[in-house]
Amino acid sequence: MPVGPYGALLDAVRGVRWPARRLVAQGASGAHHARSRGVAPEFAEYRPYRQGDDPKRLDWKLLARSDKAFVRLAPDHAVLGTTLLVDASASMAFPEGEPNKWLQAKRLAIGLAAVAHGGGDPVGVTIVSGAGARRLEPRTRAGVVADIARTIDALRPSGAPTLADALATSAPRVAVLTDCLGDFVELRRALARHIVRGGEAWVVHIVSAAELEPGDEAMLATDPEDASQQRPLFAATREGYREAFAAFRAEVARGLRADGVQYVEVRDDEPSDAAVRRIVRPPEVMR
Amino acid sequence: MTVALPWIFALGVAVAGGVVGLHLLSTRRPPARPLPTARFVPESDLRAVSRTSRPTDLFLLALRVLAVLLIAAAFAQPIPDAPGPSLRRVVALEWTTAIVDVEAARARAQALLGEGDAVVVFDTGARVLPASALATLAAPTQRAVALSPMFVAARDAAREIARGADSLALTVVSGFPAEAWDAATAALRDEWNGRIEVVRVATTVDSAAASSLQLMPQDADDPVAAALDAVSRGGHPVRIRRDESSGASALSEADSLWLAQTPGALLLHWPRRREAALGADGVYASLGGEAALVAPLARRELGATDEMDAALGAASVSSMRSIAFWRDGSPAATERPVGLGCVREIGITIPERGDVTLREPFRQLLAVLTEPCGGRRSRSPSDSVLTAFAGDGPLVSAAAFEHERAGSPLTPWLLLAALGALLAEQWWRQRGARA
Repeated sequence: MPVGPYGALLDAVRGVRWPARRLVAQGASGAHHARSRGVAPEFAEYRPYRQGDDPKRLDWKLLARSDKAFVRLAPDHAVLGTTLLVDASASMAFPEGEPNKWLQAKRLAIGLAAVAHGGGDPVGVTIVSGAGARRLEPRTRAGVVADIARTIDALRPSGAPTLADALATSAPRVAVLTDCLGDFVELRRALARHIVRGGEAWVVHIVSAAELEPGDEAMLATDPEDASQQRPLFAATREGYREAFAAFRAEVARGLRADGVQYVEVRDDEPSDAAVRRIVRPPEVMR
Repeated sequence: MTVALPWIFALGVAVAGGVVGLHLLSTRRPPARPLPTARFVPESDLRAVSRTSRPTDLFLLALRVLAVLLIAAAFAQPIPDAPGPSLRRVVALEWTTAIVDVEAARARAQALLGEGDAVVVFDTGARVLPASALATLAAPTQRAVALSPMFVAARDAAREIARGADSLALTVVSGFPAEAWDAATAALRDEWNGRIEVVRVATTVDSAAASSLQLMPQDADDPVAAALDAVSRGGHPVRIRRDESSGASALSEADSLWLAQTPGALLLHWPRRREAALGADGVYASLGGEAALVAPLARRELGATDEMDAALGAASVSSMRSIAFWRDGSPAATERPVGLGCVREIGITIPERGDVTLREPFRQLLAVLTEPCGGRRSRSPSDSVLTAFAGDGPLVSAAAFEHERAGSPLTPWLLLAALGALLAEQWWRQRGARA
């Protein structure tokens, strides 16, 4: 499967699994625990026999011992469709050169797609830029990761698009790869609605090392998405900038987690495979 | 190190200070850089950024200041000190045949010379020589002397040796005949604004009178003969050749021998031309005395010929000078040194008849034409005149001549260094803009 320059990343995340944070609805057989109980060999619980149950599911040994008829139940597994929502606004193309936020976002999207696909989950991508939204529906077929890679590589960050609208057509699991500098308030609301509807939400907050430490040169800091936003950054304002940005990130993390969103902050200079593992770290299954 | 125009360098320092001040007080707008998180930068005054920002282009400032100072230094004309004593001397030596003991005069001049000094030798002209050339200087050939050319040459020599010196001395070794002064001498002396050292040497002094006067061939009908009585006698021997021929072929063996053996012998070669076509003309002569004659005269062409070169020697011909001029400026009489005396070619044809030669103007002309070879040399002026000529007070300052130099030898290098600094400044500025 040709995936361009992402071969090493895909090799590094092979075998990594991205378990669901919740029990998923019963559906196609997959790797995630389903809300329903099935007839798998693995034991989950006993239920009294009801008229209409398949007699083959009776536990005859228990019947012999207790003279009571119980049906043996086992946990079911289902797939979890995943959509990677990638922020391709102009602020993602920072800084010039490597590493930068857009490059990290691409690598994380492809890495997460490979992990989801490796777990048998359908995976798709929605990339939102100033030129509009480009969408690939979640699929499980072979080659979907390469398709996602080609789709992402063909786009360039631009404009100041809104991400919240793209959440309406997302799969049950959505991972938003963004720098949270756009329509964050609307995005947070949309994520909360998605969770209420039974979905899972991840926000991978990508920050640049150059944003955390802009350097010592006095400059007129200009927002690439809003040219009127110009602030002089120099020695007297540098500490205030650091504090304000840190407070913003802390508030973003607190608010999203309070909404039930899985929040992870990733720097653009962090190894992508390590970041993918950190994002998909197995949680406790919530019932 | 001395600076010819220190005020220019001071002006350059002031300009450099202004460059530094503008750099530090500049309200240059900081460069705009993209930063997506610009909204988190606290709002502040942009002017405060410019004033309090750490200057990151100190190297650029240094290059600009360096360029300004180098340009100022170049135009200020720094003159590096030359090794040597602070007092330099120009020794002007009269080099004429009138000096009684030429070698003693040469030795006297050499004794005055020191490290870094210059020599001027002069007669009616003057030239600057290296001090080492004085020892091998050829014997003098001229008798007349003039101080005006000496002063001009002395100034040229002073400009060459002034670098690195504090003061300059001018020592004139001469017989100082009265004829050495001309109309320009006083003004040239005033330009040498300092004391002059006067060293008087013994020179021969001429009497205006001729010791003997021979007219050859003797002819009572010769119109010149009638005027000879008016010529004073008692000085140098004079022989007047009135043969009816021209050119150097008239110089007989007897005449050559007489010139070779008789000190101060004067031979006037004055061919007689009975059939010459006369016309109103005028002639002026100056040779110790002055005379002018306007009368029916005819001209005889003068000038060197191959026969003259062979008879008199090329050196004698090259030393020829005009002593009388027609009204149109062409030479009417010339003099050239031969042996111990000289030969004067007279190109003035006088009428055979009439009273031209009996008039006073002709007699004065004849008296001038029979002056001693090289012109009359009289005695030196009085001591008071020479004392006034020497002057008192300090020697002339060397700085006065340093300023007459055509610029400093360091100026081209300083300008080149300034150009390098400006190119480096431009490169560094463009490099910063690209960064």
